Amino acid sequence: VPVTPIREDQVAAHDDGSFEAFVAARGAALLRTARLLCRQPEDAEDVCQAALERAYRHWGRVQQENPEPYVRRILVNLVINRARRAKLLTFVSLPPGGVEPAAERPHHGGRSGVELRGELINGLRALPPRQRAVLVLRYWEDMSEAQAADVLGCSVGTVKAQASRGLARLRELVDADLARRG
Amino acid sequence: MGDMEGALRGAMADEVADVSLPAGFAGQVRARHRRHRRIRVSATLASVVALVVAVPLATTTVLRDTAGPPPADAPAVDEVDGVVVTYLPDGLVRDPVDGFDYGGPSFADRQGDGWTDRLIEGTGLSDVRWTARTARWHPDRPDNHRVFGYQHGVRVTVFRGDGVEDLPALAESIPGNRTAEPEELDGRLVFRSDIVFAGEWIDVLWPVADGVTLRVRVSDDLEDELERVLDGLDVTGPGEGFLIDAAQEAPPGDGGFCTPASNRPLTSAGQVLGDEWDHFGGVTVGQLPAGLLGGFDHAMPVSGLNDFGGPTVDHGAPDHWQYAYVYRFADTDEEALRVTVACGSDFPRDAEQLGLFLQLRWSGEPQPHQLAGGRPAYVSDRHEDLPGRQLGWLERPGVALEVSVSEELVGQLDEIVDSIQLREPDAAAEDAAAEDAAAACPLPEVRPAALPWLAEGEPLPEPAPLPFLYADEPGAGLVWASDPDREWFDVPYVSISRVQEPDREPGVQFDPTYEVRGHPAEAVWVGDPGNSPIHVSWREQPGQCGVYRLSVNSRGVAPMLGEQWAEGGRCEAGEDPVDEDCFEEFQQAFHSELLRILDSLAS
Repeated sequence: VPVTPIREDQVAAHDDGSFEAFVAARGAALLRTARLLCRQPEDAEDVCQAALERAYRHWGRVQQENPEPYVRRILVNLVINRARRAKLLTFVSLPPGGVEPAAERPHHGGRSGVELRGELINGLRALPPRQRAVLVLRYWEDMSEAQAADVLGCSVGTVKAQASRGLARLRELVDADLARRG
Repeated sequence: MGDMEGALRGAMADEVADVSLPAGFAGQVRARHRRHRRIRVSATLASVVALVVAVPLATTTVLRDTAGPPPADAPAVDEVDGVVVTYLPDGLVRDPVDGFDYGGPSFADRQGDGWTDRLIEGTGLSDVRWTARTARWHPDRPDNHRVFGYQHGVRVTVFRGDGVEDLPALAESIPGNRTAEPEELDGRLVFRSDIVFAGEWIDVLWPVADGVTLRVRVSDDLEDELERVLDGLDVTGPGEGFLIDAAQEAPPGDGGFCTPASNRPLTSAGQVLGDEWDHFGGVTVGQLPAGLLGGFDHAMPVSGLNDFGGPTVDHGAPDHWQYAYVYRFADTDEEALRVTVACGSDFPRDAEQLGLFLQLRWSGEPQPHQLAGGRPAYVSDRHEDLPGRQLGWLERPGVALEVSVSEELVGQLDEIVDSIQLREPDAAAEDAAAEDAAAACPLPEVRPAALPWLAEGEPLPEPAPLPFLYADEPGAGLVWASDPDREWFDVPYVSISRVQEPDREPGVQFDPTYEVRGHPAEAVWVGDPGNSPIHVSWREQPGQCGVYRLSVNSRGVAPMLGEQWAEGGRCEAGEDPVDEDCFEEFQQAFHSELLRILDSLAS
């Protein structure tokens, strides 16, 4: 079996020119996806930079392939892992004096009467991170269920279930909003 | 739901319409990279040296050009597990890493990892037991790589085992994705698949000898070559397939070392020390590099080897358990070290099985390695979520340890590994520790007057001593369980304890929003909200043991709250109250119940 030495460009750590070109070409798209994936929109730039930085560490190897799926996968997993870590130990604000009845509570940020699209985005951000990721991958990135499952490292069945539940949850929000408006 | 999908697409488009890449974004990423490198410059230099030394040479077989059908005595161009390959299409190279897999009664219910291109998703148990080795030849193109899944090429899989001649049964024992029912043609099982990212493939399975079945798959662009590849295969040798000894393969769920007695997921380090987990004493990292923070991260049941390494598992019986300890750089919060203990009563049991286990688990080829004292181990560079190096060894039959370090710590990997010890479960020591803890603080004198499962005015039952407290917070506590005759973990419970310090985590904002008995209190979910306890801590007295902590397990209380929701019409009747869809409502209801308990506290 002949041995083929690994090419120098395969181990070269960084190629700033091609990295700049990749970020210029696809950075905005990745940032938009990050904006939709993150619960807090202001986290998008940071998580996008973190994903790109991880790819940059191995750019010599990553750039040999199409880097975008690789970076997108890092991005999705970073968002989910950060959410999971944040949830592991979360200080809770207890409403003093008890809890408002459900009907009186502000509906997702108290934005009753806002535009439908704003309501949907609020609802999207309120979903659990993996469910949110499924909806973003399916309906923003236009991935198939199998593609989304591949990115998330789960089964197609899980993607189907999460997408269905996520959409159902958003439907509830919209219906409730319409009902409130009369 | 179609309208909703369209509306969501529109909403998302609006949401990101004004998002543009800030100027100098790529430069900021590179600066971020340099910043992290500067922080750990000395360690990085060491790791770069180690990395360069350790880069394995890619061994690729460049196949010869072949024209026309292979002659009967055609020379071998390659071989996989005793099967000679005499014809392959032009221009393909062999992946240096073969795929390994195995199937059997205990392992049928698992998710695929792409190694053997599983056939179906979800399956019943099968009596067929097999192992498989897959060789993959692929065009050497940038868009066709193992990391992303090959979309073009040829693969030959050799199945060996009992009953593999029964093709439908074999197919049923290979979980995975399949887009069409296979057809039987002339004793062969033929099917096509069209999977996004994996491309379109044509598969053929057929038995070639007792206990040997071959599978050939070609990408659709090579369909014209399929027959020639099939005709060019020749089974000449016994191969190297191995079978897991049936006697060693314990029934699913059978207990073994560090297999917990129940299936309840672990969510905090303290719970590992509880008597429920007395099969697992934990892990000690004796030589923890300076500047790292962390410890126990999670434990979870996993139903098959391919689940290891993933953070989420949502199916299957717990044949195996995984315990993970994660340490991060304190200054950057980047992951630096991960120690994983993988336990199964049945696998892996020896070095050979460990090698296969790590082939399944790692993306890089495991290289033989020796630990101090000569114990066999495997090592591989790691490229994905924690770039650096990983090392695995079998601590004892059924207990595999894996240590992964970031690039900065590669030079210290052996030293770290040598310092790792499994703590033996020691019930006597735990009892003594519990007694010491109890002695360290007196029992709390504060009692709740309201409990979730008691009607208003119903007398408070007698409490029991809290079975354990967190190891680093010696104290004493009492627990009220709704059914004291059952294991109190699994039923609704409320506990009050006296501890030395409240729960605190660096970097987490303290948000005092409530008063308990005139004192500011802080509330914290420990673990996954909805599944694990919420603690409310407040300082009742100055000095040690002056901190009181009320704990309520949301998992136990949830069913009661769920019934209330259903009656109140806020959630659909019968819906799991910890279901994510109802989580917000659950949280509110749970807080309400918690406040009722807090308000009832009396001396």
